[in-house]
Amino acid sequence: MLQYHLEEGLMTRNALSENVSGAEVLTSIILFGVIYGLLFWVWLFVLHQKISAGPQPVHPPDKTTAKGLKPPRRRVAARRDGAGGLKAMDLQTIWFILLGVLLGGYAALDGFDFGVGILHPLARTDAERRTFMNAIGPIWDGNEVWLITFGGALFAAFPMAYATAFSAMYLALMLVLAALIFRAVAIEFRSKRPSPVWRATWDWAFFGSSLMASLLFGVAAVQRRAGHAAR
Amino acid sequence: MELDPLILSRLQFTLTIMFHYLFPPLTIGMGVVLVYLEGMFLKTREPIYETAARFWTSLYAVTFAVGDATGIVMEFQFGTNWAAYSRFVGDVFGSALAAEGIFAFFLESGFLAILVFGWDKVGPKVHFFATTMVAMGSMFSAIWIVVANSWQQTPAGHHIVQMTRDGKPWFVDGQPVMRAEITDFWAMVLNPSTLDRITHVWIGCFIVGAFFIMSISAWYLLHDKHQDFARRSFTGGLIFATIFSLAALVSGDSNAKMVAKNQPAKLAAFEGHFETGPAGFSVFGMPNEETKTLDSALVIPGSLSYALTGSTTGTVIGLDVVPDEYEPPLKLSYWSFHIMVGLGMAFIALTLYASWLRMRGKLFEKRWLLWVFVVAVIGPFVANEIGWVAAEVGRQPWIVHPTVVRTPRARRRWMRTACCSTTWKRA
Repeated sequence: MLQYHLEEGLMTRNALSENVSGAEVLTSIILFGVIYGLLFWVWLFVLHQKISAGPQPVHPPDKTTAKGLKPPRRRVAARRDGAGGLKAMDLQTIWFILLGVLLGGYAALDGFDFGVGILHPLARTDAERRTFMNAIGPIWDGNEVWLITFGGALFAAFPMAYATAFSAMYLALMLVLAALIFRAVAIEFRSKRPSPVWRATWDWAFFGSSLMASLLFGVAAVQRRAGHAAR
Repeated sequence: MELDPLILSRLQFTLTIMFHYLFPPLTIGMGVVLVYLEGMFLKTREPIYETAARFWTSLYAVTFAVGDATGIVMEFQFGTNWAAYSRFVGDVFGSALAAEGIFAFFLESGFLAILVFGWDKVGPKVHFFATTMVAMGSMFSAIWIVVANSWQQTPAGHHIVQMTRDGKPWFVDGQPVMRAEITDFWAMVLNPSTLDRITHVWIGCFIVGAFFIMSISAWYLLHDKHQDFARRSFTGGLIFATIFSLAALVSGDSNAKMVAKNQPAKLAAFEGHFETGPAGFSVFGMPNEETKTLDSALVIPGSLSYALTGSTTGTVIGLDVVPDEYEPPLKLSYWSFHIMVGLGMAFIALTLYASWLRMRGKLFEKRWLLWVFVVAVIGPFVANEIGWVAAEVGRQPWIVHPTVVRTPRARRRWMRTACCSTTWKRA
């Protein structure tokens, strides 16, 4: 018989979160099913549009394109500042500060994007609304990288906190993720058709997902603190 | 009905990872093409290269954004749904994932803005540099993700310790909390399956990129649009696809040897091989879990033994020596593996035939073949997805696969590999 070093392995059935129920997972599956269906449609729609348009001969510079080159540079600098000069501290403290910088950076940068989304209904004309979206158009996905790096760094540096906190905040986090994806869909999709109903729909989707995401980050944080107090 | 969080969590992971993985292979495959096109533009200054690079970048950007948005879910999911797993592997798997975020992802996202929005803002050389960085960043991403996953398949460079909390052993729900800690970072990174698997993953990505380009070019040719652009793009894609379809076969063979050595139960399930002894590739068959046979099978006798051991009578471990509770799901492993291999063979046949026609200058007259290429783009997407299904389902019921005990000698070798040396190279 084939033998295994059993203590080396981990079985899938023993790998689950202890405190997440089947109903919660079902909810998030349905949520992602819907969102992914929509996202896939957007992807095909945009590809089809660009393929139909075909390769364009090179044209002179377009002055209206927003530039989005600054945040990445600033980001690298911030990282260096965060980790430099702290050699005397222990590794946990350095990571803790680094995570603070990452989360703070995310909150500031994507917080700006959320703010634009929430203020979006105040814009009166179609052109104004477009300007709002264009303001964050080239940078929102770069800003989300901060969140991704925060998640990865938390997993590596404090896996216990990552596992316990994320499974405790299950529904709130799943809704945040859904809202973030939904916002991306709204930004991509709004300008695809001129019809006012179409645009109004995606404007509200943009507003709603920005509001939801920022609200739910708060809910997740409070839930975690409340859970901590209860224990 | 009782809702089982295990089944549902696995289903959710299947949904989110399979949807996410539609996009990264395309961006990795197309990234290389963009670098080539911009490099050629710098060299020749022919405007068609810039036109082409701009066009493919516009398709690249939307794919990248979708891959980006769905990637966040992947990363959070380990903590939300697989907390016990995250505690166990955090130090190892988490490190690889964080390395991906910090090194690769910043590289990609930092330069992506220049790639997409910088055409008229920076010079062609700076733009070429940015494109190269994005392409390299996406390939680095793949490295770290494959490192993390390969460690689940063939763990190395770590030891298992019990966690303590406030100086006392830590228990969750009465179970001691164990965790893997890195003892040798490079042994973990270059664990026994990393190199074989990253090569295969990259090749898979390049095939997707090449078929995607050929599909759109064939569409233009059939509709008599952008003829010059489409002919050149198609030819370039075809060369790329032919080379890498053949490379996939070589890399696949190397992977099979690696799996046979490290995860014999997985290979036995892939091939529906029930009795330890000489084995053949099954071209077709219906694996039967009850009778433990491969029904209505068409097997090439001795071929698998030959591929793995160099002799047609070489011994290949079968499912008969695998304890029942550690057998992977048979049908899904068998079918996913066979569909992947079948598709790989189909790519070789299709690209070789098309290359032969192209060399004789007759390719663009064969409208039916161009139609085949328009649709054929689905093939590499399916092959990439189903190949990962085979890799992941074949690992079950383990989420971290334990090393296999064979002989005292093998055990000593394992001890060396697992703890502290750099003997990760395939024996």
